[in-house]
Amino acid sequence: MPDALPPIYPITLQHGLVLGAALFAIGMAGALSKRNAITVLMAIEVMLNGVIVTFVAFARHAPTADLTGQVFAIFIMTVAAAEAAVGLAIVIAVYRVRRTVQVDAADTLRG
Amino acid sequence: MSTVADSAWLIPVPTLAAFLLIALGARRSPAASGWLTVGAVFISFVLSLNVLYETLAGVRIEHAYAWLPVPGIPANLQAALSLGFQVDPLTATMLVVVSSVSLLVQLYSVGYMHGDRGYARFFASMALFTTAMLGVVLGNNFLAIYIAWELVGLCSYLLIGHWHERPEAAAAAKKAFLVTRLGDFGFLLGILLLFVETGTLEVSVITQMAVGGQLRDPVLTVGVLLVFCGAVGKSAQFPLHVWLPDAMEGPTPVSALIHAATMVAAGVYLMARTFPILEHSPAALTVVAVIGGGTAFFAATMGLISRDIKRVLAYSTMSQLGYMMLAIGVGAMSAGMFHLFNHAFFKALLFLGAGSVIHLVGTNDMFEMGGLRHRRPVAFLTMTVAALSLAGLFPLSGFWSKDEILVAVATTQHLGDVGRTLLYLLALATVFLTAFYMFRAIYLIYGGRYRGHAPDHPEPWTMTVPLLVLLVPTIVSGFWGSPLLGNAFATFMEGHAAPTAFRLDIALVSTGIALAGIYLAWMMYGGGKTESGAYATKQLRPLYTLLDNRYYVDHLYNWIAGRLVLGIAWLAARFDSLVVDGAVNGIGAAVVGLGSELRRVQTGQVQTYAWALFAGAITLAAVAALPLILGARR
Amino acid sequence: MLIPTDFLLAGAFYTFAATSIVGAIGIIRARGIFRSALFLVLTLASVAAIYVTLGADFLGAVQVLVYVGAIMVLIIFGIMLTPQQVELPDIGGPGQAAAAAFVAVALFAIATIVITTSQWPRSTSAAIDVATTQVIGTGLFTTYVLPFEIASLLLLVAMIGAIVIAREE
Repeated sequence: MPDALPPIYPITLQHGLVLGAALFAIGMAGALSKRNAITVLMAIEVMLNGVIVTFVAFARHAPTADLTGQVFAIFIMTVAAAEAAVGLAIVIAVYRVRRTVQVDAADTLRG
Repeated sequence: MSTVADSAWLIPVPTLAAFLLIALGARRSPAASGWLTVGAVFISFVLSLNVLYETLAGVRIEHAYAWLPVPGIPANLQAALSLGFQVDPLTATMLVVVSSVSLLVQLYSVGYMHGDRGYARFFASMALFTTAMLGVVLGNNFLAIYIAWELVGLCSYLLIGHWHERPEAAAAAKKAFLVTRLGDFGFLLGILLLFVETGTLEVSVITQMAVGGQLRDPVLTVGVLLVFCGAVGKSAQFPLHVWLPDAMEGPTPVSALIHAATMVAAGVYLMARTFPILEHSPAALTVVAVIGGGTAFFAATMGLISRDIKRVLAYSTMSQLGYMMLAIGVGAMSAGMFHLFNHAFFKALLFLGAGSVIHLVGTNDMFEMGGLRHRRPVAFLTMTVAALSLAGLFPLSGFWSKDEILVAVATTQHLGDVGRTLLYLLALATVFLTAFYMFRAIYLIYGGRYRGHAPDHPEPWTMTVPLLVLLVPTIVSGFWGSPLLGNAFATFMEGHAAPTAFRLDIALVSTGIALAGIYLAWMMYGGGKTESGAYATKQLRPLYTLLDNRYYVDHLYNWIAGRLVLGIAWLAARFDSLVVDGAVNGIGAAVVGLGSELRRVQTGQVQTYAWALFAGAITLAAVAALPLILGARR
Repeated sequence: MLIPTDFLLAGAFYTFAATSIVGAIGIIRARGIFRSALFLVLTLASVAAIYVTLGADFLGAVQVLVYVGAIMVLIIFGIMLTPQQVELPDIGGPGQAAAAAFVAVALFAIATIVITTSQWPRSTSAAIDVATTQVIGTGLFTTYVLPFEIASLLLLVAMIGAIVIAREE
């Protein structure tokens, strides 16, 4: 047990990683259970933020000369932005046809 | 120095050629088919006479050809797959019998079958039959014999069912084929057993092994008895006798040739051919003797009450074949063959004569005949002489051979006292019955006044001549084997001086019994009267019914076939519908069911799929992290 | 200073971690989509603060600019453009919520166990206390120029794609 739990302070790598895991988990719970498509997109953004937190924690506690972790975090943010844009465009397109943004409504591939 | 016997394999060829020619074209001309067949058989007959002549002079031949050169099989199998022929006294005698009777019957058929729609087909089948029968007697190994044997059975089927539009004829042909097939199955098993045990199919080699003691009981006995099954089927012995009475549905020449003189004699020939092997198994000999003697008596009883002349003659054939089997069974092979030789001629004559009167009055029923001695004098004369020969009256042929059999039975060393006495008494009783039923028939047909309504018409010469020709051997063929010529037939057949001594006492007893039978027949039916017959039938009603239903053997077989076969069929049907269909349908239903359950995975909901994705990934992660998890617990 | 920097830093970290978690849970539990959006803003802002405590100052600024500024606006626009006729229950199916929660908890548990039981390398070098902007900028245009170009291409494609998908026929 002594080595298992990290100390309350100073903040170590494990704190950051746990936070990232928590954000990711909560975001996943939301993405898998909410009905409104936009809410799902929001939850996905939370998941992505959890991932970025993980990278930044690594960059802080296991640094490299060129801050690889933070650079990677930039890229993740870029992709997240692109994905949010396209995702919302799709939601609006579906709304135009189906008059609803409920995820349940898109079930024509049902077997 | 080569002889005609070296080319004995040519003997079945002319009729084969006739069959092919008819099948391939000559059918369009019925007259051509008929005379073609007669000509072909005539050639075979001439060749057979030549062969007999040479054999009498001492020629013995055996040739074999390996016709299937299969590389890589062991030598004994290679030898077994050879086809060959032999010429010895047994074969030569049979060749002459088959070809001569066949010749006369074909000639007779030219007249008898005139105007028949299937005339050409008839002669084609007859030609093929003659080929096959000659093949049976020429074959020197079991394979060749079996091939020809089956072919003979096929021709019998074709000929019995010649008038196939008649359902009775078709049914009779089927019955004959199936019953003899049953016997043939046993025959095949016997051949296979002997092959496995001896490594060869050649009769002479197997004989040597039996004589030399290398072939022993129980294989010897079982093998020979299985071969005997084939003989039982073909020669219509109990219990495979049921087909012969029904086979009379075929045209009369067919009955004369196949079911009197030749095919049914094939069974006796087979036992004679395998006699040297058979000799070494006392158990098998006893079985043969008992079945032969039993069938002789049993068949004769059924001939007593028949209204149909052909059926009477069929039972008579069955009975006489029983005599021949009995002779072989008590160890007197040459006596049996001698009787076969004589029987072929006078039985064929009886059938052809019967055909004569049937052709005239249009029915087989003897009670509708009568007084025909005026209309068919030749038939009357020849049939009466043949009937006397069948009854065994001196000095006709039947007397000599039947007596030789009786002596053999009375003096045999192969059976115990009880068995010997029993069979001897049975044989004597059969003599009485034979004489009685035969002369009952003669009186009913030819005696008194004509009871029917058919108009008279002249008989074609092609039908009269064979009757007269057959009269000759009926009278004289017996002398060959009589003591007057020093038992020449027996010596010839067995290769050594065969001393079946003539016993005057037995001869007198049998002649007396035969005369008594004829007398009783005269008393009851003489002058063509039918009242005493009717009276006897009424008084002995139960016995009459038993005989009329042929001891219910047919009913028994029907019942067995019905119950057994239908039972098995029912089982198979149930199995099919429950197990097989169940399995197939079950698989189908299972797949459909599985499909409908699995389709529920396809919810169409993205979140379901995403959940599954994450759950799977987390499971993998858990598995990978398992050591860490377990380590943390400690 | 009376209070050591480590302690301050830890306090800040814990505070903003708590707010981000609260925000995240709030997104799920909020009634109505607009409240969820507001909770998302809280989460994103808190995460920006977390970055700062972790020494990523430039990243924290970018987070506020891009996430809170642009993406949130996008989402708000999306909410406004898709008014629901009927207020429907927000969580689909009873089992679905439980299953999602289960999976989330399982993931968190496994991750935590792995994180806390693994031997992470001790940080040997000191934390970088310089301004990270220059370092990141240099890295983007030298070592990581290829991903940079691809990312810009990606943004172009996404933009075009979004326009094409969302426009009126």
